[in-house]
Parts: sequence; structure tokens; C-alpha cells
Amino acid sequence: MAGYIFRRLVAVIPILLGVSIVIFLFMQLVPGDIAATLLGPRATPEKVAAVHRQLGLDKPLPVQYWLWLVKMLRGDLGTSIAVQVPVAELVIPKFKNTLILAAASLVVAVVGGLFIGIISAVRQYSIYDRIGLVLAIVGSATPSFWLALVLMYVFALKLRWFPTSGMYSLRGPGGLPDVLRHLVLPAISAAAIPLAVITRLVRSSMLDVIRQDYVTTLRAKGLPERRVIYGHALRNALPPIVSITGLQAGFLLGGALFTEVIFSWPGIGRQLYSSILARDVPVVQGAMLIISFTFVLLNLAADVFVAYLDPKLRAG
Amino acid sequence: MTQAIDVQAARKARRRWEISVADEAREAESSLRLFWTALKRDKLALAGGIFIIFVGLVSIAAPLISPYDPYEAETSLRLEPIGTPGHPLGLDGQGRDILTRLMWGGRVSIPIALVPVTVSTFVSLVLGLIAGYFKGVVGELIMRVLDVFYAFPTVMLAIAIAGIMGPGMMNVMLSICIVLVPYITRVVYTTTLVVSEQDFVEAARASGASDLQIVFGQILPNVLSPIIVYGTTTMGLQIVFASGLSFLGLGVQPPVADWGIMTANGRDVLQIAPHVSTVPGVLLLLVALSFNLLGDGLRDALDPRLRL
Repeated sequence: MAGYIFRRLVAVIPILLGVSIVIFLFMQLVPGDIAATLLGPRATPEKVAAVHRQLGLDKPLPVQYWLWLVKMLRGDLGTSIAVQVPVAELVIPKFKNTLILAAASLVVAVVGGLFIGIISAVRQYSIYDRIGLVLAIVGSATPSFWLALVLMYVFALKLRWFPTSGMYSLRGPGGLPDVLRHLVLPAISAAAIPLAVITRLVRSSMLDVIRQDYVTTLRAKGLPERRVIYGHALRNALPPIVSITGLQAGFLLGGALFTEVIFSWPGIGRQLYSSILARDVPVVQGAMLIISFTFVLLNLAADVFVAYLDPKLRAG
Repeated sequence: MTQAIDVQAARKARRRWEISVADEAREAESSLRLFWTALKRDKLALAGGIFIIFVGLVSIAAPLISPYDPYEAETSLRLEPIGTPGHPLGLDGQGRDILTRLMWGGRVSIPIALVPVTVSTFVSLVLGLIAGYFKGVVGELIMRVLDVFYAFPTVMLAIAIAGIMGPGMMNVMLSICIVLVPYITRVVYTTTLVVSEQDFVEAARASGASDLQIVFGQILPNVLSPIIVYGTTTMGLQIVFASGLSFLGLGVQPPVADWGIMTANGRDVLQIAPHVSTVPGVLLLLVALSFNLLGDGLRDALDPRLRL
């Protein structure tokens, strides 16, 4: 097990390096010259050259990359062009907020998916199965930004059960109940697609397992049905579910962006979006770096967990 | 005990269905007929396919059949709801007819997903076949580079690319292409690996077929089926996603009609005129749903277990 973990960690390093190269090269995608953009109408050739030297843009590209990488590894993510604040200070608190939203959505998606998926599989072709399948199929086609707007209209604007935006109420008492109230609608709208995907996966994975002979044997042995399903079938059905859940978690990290924008949830997705619009490249790079690295490590954790569940996979 | 009987009944039901499809298909000869027969039996997939064709035709014919001009504003009727005489789906914040803009919107929202999916599929076929069949250093390099792109959540990556490069349809299509290629290539790659090991490829090689002949004659036909399924299912996702990019202001710009922009336009008036945002979203959902159902139907129809 330790050997597997070590091998996977080593394999991840070139990927993280590649990710950093891609993110660095992002700066090159911006149309126009950064120095000229920063200086605006006062740009003269000498001033542009001076800003180039100041930003280190006169050095060859690989050198620029190396300097940038060293800075990143020391924790210096640069300074925001728009607000003159260190990127790390700007982005890390927002990242924590996104983690809260992503965690809540993941809980909704996994718990809901397991529940509906298992019932669908165990009572295949019944009315519960049909409802579950319809939910899953329609759910995976639902645009998340549309769902967010619909939920906002019904539950926040019309019924007034939940607030329409933000993470805390401005004049409220604050604290956990306040956050939870603000969390409900965003978490549900972000969870819709992962829930649909997980439901279908749980259902098909469980169906495959239930059809196996050893399940019939367990039943013949007189094991109560509940033990058969949860104790044995589910455990064996888990590996693909865990892998896909890892992917969905990553999807939530990036995909919560729509939800964050619509509900004004102060997360890293929303920060990324506004920084992109403002062409604030250091913040964009910093945010992308944090999100991608977390995504890679999350998938690694999912793979390790799957290897723990299924020893046959540890050989690779 | 009841659970065990349910499982048996389910097995019997599936078997009966399989046999009836095979009976019907036995009259057909080529595998294409078999596939088409199985697909026709999937009523949902058929409905999905018909709906897509319908929406496509309406979008193409929009300049001829739309009741109004998509940019024409009737300000006195701003935000009128569904069912207003002459405007069955209501009007938006600027007094433009929503039904008209939905029809014209299809001319943007569909190609903006269709083109990247098609282009990415071609690129991925080339990359995946090379990496999976010829392998070697080039193949390894291709897969390693794509692994890096796998590390980015797709939504984030596409938004970042489209956003940094600036608004416009071309940039959105390009960013979706970049995001899709790693995923489709991986499907081509793994399928190519599996197919390359099959006996009939060995046989072709033994009878003197060149690499190119094997790739086009043996590998490609067997890779196409999963790719078509994957492409169809991803089309639905990409239409929704491209609309999402437009919703964020990263795609086509107003006053062009596009389903994402229309949804965004309704955000400010959500409380008083929810139809402006919700109606385009419903259409998006139905189109995406149709592609998903069609893709599922294709996948089930191409399932080798049905080929008896």
C-alpha cells in the first residue's frame, strides 16, 4: 500500500510541473502588450521598455518561467494588478469558502446518489427505479446556471425561505446557522449534475455486483438482505463510484463557478471570473494554480482509496 | 426471498427483450441494420433524435419563419409574460419576442457546440490512433501532454481560455476544442489499444497489409462506435456549457440572440418576469436531454451483446 502511494506521488510531480508550465504560458495568451495596457495612454517606447524590465519581461521565456516557479514554490503568488494586494491574501480565504460550498455539494450529491442509486438497483424496474432514472437522466442535462436561477426564484424570491446571495447576512447574527441558510440553495444547484452522474453509476455498479453468483450464495446462506446489500455488495461496487466521485469533486471545484457567480458566493470561482474579466493575470494564475493542484491531489486521494478497497489495483 | 424473485424476473424480462430484438434483426443482414433496428426500438432515443432534428431545422429556417425580427423591440410590451397575444413565450426586458430569439438563438447555440465537438473528434482520432497503434516516443509524448490537461477542471480551463482571449464565438469554440481533445483522445487511445490486440488485426498484418491499411481498415471502424456515442452525449453537455459561457458574457455579445445570453438577460428581472430566464433554460435542458437520450440509445444499440 505504501509502495503504491509512493509511486503515485512520484507520478504526479511531472503533471504538476506541466500544469505550472501551462498556467505560466497563460500570460502569453493575453492579446496586446501587458506593459502598454498597464501604462495606458501615457505609454511611450521608453516607458514600455522600463515596465518590461521591471516585470522581467525582457528575459527569455524559460528564464521567466523559472523565476516565476521559484516564487510560487516559496508561496509568493504575485500581486494583483487590480487591487495591489498579494494574490495569496486575496485568493486563499476565497478558496476556503469554495471548499465549504464544494464539500456541502459533494455531501448532497454522494448521499443522494447512493440513496437513489441503491434503491434503483435493488428494486430494479419498479416505480422507484423509474423515478430515480428519470431524475438522473434529466438531472445530467440540467444547466446549472438555469437551475440556480429557478431555485433562487422559487425558494428565495417567492417563498423567502432562503437568502438570495452571499455567505453571511450583513445585519444578521452570523455564525454557523447563518452560513447553513445561505449554503442550501447554492449547494443544491451545484450538486445537481454530480448527483445525477453518481446515481446512474451507483445503480449500474450495484446491478453488476448483485448479479454475481456470490451474492446469491450469501442470500442462500441466510444472511439478512440488509447485510448483503450494504455489507458486501456495496463494498464491491465502490471502486468505480469512488473514482468518479473524485472526478466530480474536481468538477465541483471548478464548476461551482456558475453557482458562485449567481448566488454571489465569495468563492475562488467567482474571484477567478471577475479577475478574468479584469485581465488581472496574476490572480488568474494564482487561482488556477490552487484549483488545479487541489484537483490533482483529490484524484490521487480517490485513486489511493480505490486501491485500498481493491487490492488487485495496487500492482500497477 | 422476494428480492431473489425480482432479480430472476428482471433477468427473464431482459432475456425476452434481447431475443425479440434478435428475431427482428435476424431478417436484417449487415450489422448496420442490426444497430438501426435496436435503435428504433428505443423510443426515448428516437424521440430525442427527432427533437434535435426539429430544433435544428427551425433554427436553420429562422430567417424565413420567425414571427418577428430578433432585434426588433416593442418597448410598450416589455416583460410581458407567456401567453401574451402575438407573443406566445412573452417578451424580454427590451421588448423583443422570446420565441423569435429562441429560434434565432439556435443558429448560434448549436454550432458553437457542434463545431468544437466535430473538430475535437477529428483531432482526437488522429492523436489517439497514433498514440494507441504506433505507440513509441511520439505516442508517449502525446499522452503525457494530454495528462497535464486532464489535471484542470474543464469548466475552469475553458472559462480561463475564453476569458483571457476575449469575447467572441471563435474563442469560445477554440477553448471548448482545447478542453475536449484530451478526453476524446483518451477514449480513442484505449479503444485502439484494445482493438490492436485482436486476432483479426494480427491476421491482417500477417497477410501483408500495411500499417495504414490496418489503421483505416481494421482499427478505425471499431473505434468509431464508442466515439460516436461519446460525441453524441458530449454534444448535449457542450451546448449547455457553451451557453454557460455566453451567460457569463464570454461568448457572443449582445444584441446577438443566443440561449445563454437570453438567460443572463433575465437575471435582473428574475423576480418580476421569471419567464425571461427560465424559458431559454428549458429549451437548453430539452436539447441536452435529447442528445443524452440519443447517446444512450446509440450506446445500447451498439452493445455487442445484442449482435447474435
